[in-house]
Amino acid sequence: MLDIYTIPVDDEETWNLIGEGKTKGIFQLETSLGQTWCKKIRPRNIDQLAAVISLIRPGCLKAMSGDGENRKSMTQRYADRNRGEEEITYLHKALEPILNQNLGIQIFQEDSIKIAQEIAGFNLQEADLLRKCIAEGCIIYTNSGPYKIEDLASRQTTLPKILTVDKNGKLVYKKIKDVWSSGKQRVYRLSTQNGCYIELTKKHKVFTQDGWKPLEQITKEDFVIIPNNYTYKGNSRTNITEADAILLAYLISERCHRKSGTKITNANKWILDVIRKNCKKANVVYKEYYHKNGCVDIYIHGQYRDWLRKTIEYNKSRYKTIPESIANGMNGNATVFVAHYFNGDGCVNKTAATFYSTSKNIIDVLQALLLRNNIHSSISQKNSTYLGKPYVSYCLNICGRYNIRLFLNTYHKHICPQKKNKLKKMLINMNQQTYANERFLVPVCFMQAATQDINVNCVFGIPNFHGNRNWTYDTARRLNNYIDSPLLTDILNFEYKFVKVKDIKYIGFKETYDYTVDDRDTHYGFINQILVANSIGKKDAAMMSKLESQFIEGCVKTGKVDRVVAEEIFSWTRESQKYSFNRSHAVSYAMNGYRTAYLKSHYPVQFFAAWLLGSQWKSDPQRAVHEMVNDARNFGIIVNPPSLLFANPTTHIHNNQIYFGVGEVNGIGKAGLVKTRKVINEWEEKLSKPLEKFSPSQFIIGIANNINNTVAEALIWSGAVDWLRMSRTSLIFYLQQYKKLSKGEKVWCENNVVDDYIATLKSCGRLKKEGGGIHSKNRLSTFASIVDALENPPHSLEDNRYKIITKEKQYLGISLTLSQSDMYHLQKHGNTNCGELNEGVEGNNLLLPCTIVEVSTTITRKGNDVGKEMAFINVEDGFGVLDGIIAFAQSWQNCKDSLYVGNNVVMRLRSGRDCYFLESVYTEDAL
Amino acid sequence: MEPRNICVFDFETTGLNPQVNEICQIGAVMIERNQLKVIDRFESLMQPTDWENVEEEALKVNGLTREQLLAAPETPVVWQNFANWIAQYRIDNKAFFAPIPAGYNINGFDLKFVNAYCLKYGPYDNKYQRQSLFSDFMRYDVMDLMAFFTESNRDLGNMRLTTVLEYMGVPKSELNAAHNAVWDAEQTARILIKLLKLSRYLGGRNNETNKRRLEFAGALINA
Repeated sequence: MLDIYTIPVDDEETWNLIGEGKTKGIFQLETSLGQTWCKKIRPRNIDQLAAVISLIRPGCLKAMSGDGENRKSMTQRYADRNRGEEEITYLHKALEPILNQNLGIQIFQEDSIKIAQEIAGFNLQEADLLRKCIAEGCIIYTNSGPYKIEDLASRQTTLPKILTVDKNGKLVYKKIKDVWSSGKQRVYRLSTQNGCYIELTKKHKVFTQDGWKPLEQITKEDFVIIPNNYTYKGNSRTNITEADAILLAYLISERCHRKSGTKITNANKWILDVIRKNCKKANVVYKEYYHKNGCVDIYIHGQYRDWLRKTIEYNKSRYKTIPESIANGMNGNATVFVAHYFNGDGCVNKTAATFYSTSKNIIDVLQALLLRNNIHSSISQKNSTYLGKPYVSYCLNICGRYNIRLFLNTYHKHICPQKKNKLKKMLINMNQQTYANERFLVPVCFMQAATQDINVNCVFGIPNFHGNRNWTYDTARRLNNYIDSPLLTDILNFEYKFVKVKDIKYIGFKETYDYTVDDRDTHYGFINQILVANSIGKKDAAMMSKLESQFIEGCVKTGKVDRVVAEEIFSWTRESQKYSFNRSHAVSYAMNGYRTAYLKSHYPVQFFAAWLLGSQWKSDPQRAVHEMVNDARNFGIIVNPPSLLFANPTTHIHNNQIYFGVGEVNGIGKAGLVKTRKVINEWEEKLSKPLEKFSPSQFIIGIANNINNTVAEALIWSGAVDWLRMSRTSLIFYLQQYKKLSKGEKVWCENNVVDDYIATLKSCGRLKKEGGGIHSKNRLSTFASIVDALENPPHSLEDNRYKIITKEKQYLGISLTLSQSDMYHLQKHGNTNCGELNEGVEGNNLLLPCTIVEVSTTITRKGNDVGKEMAFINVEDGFGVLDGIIAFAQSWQNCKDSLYVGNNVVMRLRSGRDCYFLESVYTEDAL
Repeated sequence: MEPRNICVFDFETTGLNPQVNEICQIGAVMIERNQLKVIDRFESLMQPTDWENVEEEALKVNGLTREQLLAAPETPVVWQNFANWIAQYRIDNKAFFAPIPAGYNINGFDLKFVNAYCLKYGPYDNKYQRQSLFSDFMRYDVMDLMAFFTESNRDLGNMRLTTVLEYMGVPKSELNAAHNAVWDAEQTARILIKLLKLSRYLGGRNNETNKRRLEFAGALINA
């Protein structure tokens, strides 16, 4: 028995296997990235393997250091130093014993702890920074407008100020110090009752009624806070006129862009008048077309259309956007735009005013624009089917008495009379109701604290009133008029409101970002309207600044380095926190990887068999099986199609070879296999010989005829009966002919089977009196024609490659006996494949067997062959796609005839800088 | 589009009326769609059931004799073999992905026989009242295609297969075998492959000429 936990760690074969990049199927290293870096670094012990595993993550590959030619990623630097191509340097001599093992590079998080321990002489228990991040796509509210967090991360110029709260509950702007990406992490979505949401890692802190709480501790009972208003001046540089804003609103909501023209369609007279008026204001040339049903098309012509093309992108409705000039523009235009957009795509429901759109982008921007006028809104998603496909649309709801009143007051000038009346009616109805769908509530804990000593029931005069419930702000205000509680007055005067959490969901891996605020006291800001902490929380930031001074003082105390170097080392350590990986994590990954590699090098057959068995749980099982089968070929292990002789339901090993399971073939299944076994047992008894010694005729007449027809065909086409040494096509053809016989004839054949199939049928083709199986004379001629077809088959009975490949794919999911590129005998002539060429193999005599995907021609503009035709060719094979092979004028002229789409050829290529040149082409006939 | 295979076929019959006359010889050739190569052939004589309607003129054209037809296998057996053979080359196991029928003047002649035979001996789609031996969704009639390509050419006197072959450079000595089903099918396949290769060569995306043509069309629309 092998004990996987006691295998030797210094096994030569295993390290060779990893160093050669044969790491397909090995834990953590099976991607192409893992393969290439394994080849480059060639790890020889567990420490180095742990380094490789932590270095092939995106953070490390992106973290650049050095200047000029020496500028490299950390991964590349490690590989170069490992091979001895680069000198190992340290920032300071004192760091040498610590980073000795890692060739002078800080790879693990433990390295920084060690540095602090050794040089500054203190334990870094406190400095173990929590990893807290915000997912991509979240919007930061700044003084110059809302920005996506990833846009700010890539921004070179100075960063704007973020909206936060000060101690007195007033809204203020504070400067952002830095925004950076921190790799892919698990992300959770917190959504609130009013439709806001934010995506965070679970350690990130959010402000609740009980103060700061990490996301993992927040429940549905908690409240988060949202700003009362968000106003900013807007960018005046991209200013447009009011008429433009109005026309844009209709063009985005009601537009119809064709190549022939841009038009607005509407039937409302008020809206049509507005459009005409503003067209005149903006000097727009337009034409009108009247429909029978009262609709009017307004086509826009002339210069204005060119301007529109630049500002609005011609996209599908799902990818529509609102142009920058309005999203970040002046307030006046934004107000006009929103109101007229409501005329276009808005609607008044029973309890809400709603914007509809299929574009998430538009809804997001509209929400921000509404917030500029202090109106809160919520987003909801609608899933429906349209023409049989799933279809997602979004609604932006403005609900609650307060919000709708505000909406009507701010926009009433520009909303069309019909919708305005509806809104007014709705408000009247709402005032009569007691509970008006209000989402902003004062949390219970405050209400309880405020009403502790007071008998609220008598004071307030509302039956059943008690402090054990969240009450709306309106009610709380009315209550406060009576009780005058200092706590409630504070809460009501804050410039933010409380909203209940709806749910917290796990989403998956996402790119995440961090930010820091450049202020001593505030370390939080509004992102997606919700107040969240930044990467270094209030406590941590204080600790960090304390740490920095402590670190530097400690260094000076120990006397190992001076103050300047200490500062540099500290900043360097802080930088490395962005990409470094936990060492214990990496080592345990490395151990697992080493163990699988050990199994692969010493027990390859078992390894591949186990892998194939487990491939059904992979996300793309067919592809996984395909890759594994190809990899097994490199190890000299053949994966065979199923065989009826073993009749195993699943993949198994026999004589050191891997066999597919018969039960895994499409159309057979476990039930089919059980029946087939029954029939086989019966016939083995009848003929008193094992299945191996059956002749083709005995198989067809005895077994194939007595089982289900689809099962029989699946067995033959999948190659389960290849031991009969007869082509699959002929077995199928014989079986089809046999099915044409009558019942009595079949019984006769079963009793008089001979090894020769045709001879059996021939001897059956006589009348019963003469010892044959036919009972009437009329049947004789038909039977003769069946035998005739067998003797002179109408088509060839040999298997062609096309049939084997397509049928094996149909029944097994993958062709095992031949691969797709084997189809035309070309594979043996090649010496590379597309996968290798994509990784940059060099050489002058590269032979590539491939299928042509695309050919595009151009005219040569430089060199000797000016004016002649040349071509770019895209090809593919089983290993991948190779784009942009260049065929110069001469080689194009020579090989033109065989270079058409779909042809299978062998190409002779020469490598150039980042591309390949075509030398000549060999077709199947020439080879 | 799914790369359905192409089946080029040709029938020799006992007359011109698909309601009365019968098929007496089948020749067919399977073209693999990616490579545009012939990968399999089918060839068989067929015994007519109705001997009264065998026309002498038709036999003269075919070059077949009554003795030969008497010795041939029976119709249902051969037709089933033919159907089974075609079914092997469906790219999926559904009738929708059956091979595309192709041949010389099949729209006018051979496909009518196919419909009549499928109704009698199967495979027939009862729901939509049509044959399901071939793809019902598309057909390549090489005579139509050639007529289209040589539309402005006055050298061609008629559209017979032999004339077209001669025009395409096949020596006259080879043309004597015409009106043998297998030979006809193979030669038709030869023309079809040439045409398909030509269209693939012309139809490459991003072709410089194509681009200019598109630009011109765009300018016309915007004007």
